[in-house]
Amino acid sequence: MHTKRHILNHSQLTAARNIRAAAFFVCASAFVVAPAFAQVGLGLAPMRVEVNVPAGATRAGSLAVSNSVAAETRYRTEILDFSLDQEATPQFEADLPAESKFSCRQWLTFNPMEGTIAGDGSTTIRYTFHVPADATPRTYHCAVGFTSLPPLRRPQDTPIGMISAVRVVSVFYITVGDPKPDGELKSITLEKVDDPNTSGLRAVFQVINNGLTNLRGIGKVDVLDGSGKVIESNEFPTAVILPNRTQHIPLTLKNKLGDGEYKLRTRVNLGTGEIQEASIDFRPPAPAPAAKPSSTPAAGPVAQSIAPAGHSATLTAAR
Amino acid sequence: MLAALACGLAAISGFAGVTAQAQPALRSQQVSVRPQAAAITFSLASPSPVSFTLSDPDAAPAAGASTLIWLVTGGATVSSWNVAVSVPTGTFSGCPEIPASAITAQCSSVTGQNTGGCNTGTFTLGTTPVQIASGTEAAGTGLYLLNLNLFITDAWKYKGHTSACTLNVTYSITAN
Repeated sequence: MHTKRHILNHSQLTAARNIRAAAFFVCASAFVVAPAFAQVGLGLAPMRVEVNVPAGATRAGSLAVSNSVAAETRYRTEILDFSLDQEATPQFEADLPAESKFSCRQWLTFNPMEGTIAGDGSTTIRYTFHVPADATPRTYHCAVGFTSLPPLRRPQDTPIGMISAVRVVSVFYITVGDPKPDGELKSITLEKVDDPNTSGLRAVFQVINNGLTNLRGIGKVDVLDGSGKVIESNEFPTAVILPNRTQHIPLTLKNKLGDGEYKLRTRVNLGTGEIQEASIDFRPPAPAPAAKPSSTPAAGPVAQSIAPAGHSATLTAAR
Repeated sequence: MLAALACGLAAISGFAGVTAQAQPALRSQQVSVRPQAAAITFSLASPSPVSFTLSDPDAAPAAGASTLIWLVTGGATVSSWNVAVSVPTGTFSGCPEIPASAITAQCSSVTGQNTGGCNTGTFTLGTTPVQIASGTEAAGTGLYLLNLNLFITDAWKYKGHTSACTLNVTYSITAN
């Protein structure tokens, strides 16, 4: 992998995305009527609460939870620990011991913890958090979830069925003091992915967050052909990188690649005020023989490491 | 820096011998990437309950479908959304011999954002949330529609029932 760093131009990185987002909103307005026939639906604002407070402080605020369907809906409140797994998937649990040094779960109280919202109505959930006086400077994280509860009367005319609920989760990031961001893009690996709708490859970025506050990557991930021409461009995945850990961030490449040598290049600002650049040369593996048709669902995703150009492959089950 | 990158790459992927080059870092002023606070409305737009008819354990899995719609306002392009599915208990209510894992889910499409999409493959339902789709928030307002295919695999060991067998399924969304 080749790496270098240079100065960020943040506005250039985000301008193109803003234009695309605006265009999408205009085109997507036809969907707005869709929730009107929804079976169950909850709204939540805000979805993130980010505050800087001194140790020993107490703060209060509120969240708005709404019912987006015509029927009355019951809900339940859960205060949760929050983490990201090796696939950068958020995991919410009542207690995650591994997050204890960064958890704000026990600082939070909510009222009410359960209730009913009238059809198309909303309610205010009040919260208070108290930061212990001996809390060390860092960014703490936790979450609150609001889950719709199933109807009290179960359907009796369904031999086998699934009753669906929705849960909306708001994440709390509470920063005590002024911890400095400190992170590094450590490596890139390429893995095979068993998905015919993609290139069949994904890049996995290993990012080390050495600091005590969150990082987020802003940047580009490009695929270049042998002549150096960019043939695919993606945004660097925007998953939050929680403090004091190594995070793997996957990105599936969209376009199928023919035989040949390619370069995957990323330029990313992790929030440290600098751009880090890294690249890896690779040759796509030969396509696998066509699978025998089956009436059962396909197996789960399979990922394998592939070797860069000129090196033998090391195959490792990644999932 | 050079040694760390080379060692990290070799350790993770076995790519021993890959060359890495580094140049001195040029640091600019601190850039804030703190996202805005967003609001969301998350709805299930398909019929609930999703019904399955199991009549022949040797037949192909019975299929169903769900559609989820969500609207994010005040979104920020430096933030991501994630949709996950889980079940609060591991078996069907009324049919305890049928595990939740008899059901698999497959995200077939996400409409509305070109920087997000389905997670690939099929996922077995369990008490641990499994991410089925993720993406980057649109700046300002973003509207999304997700289609999900559901399959239940019958088995001879499942009893016949005349009363309802139901499984509560929770779809979670967060924007972090």
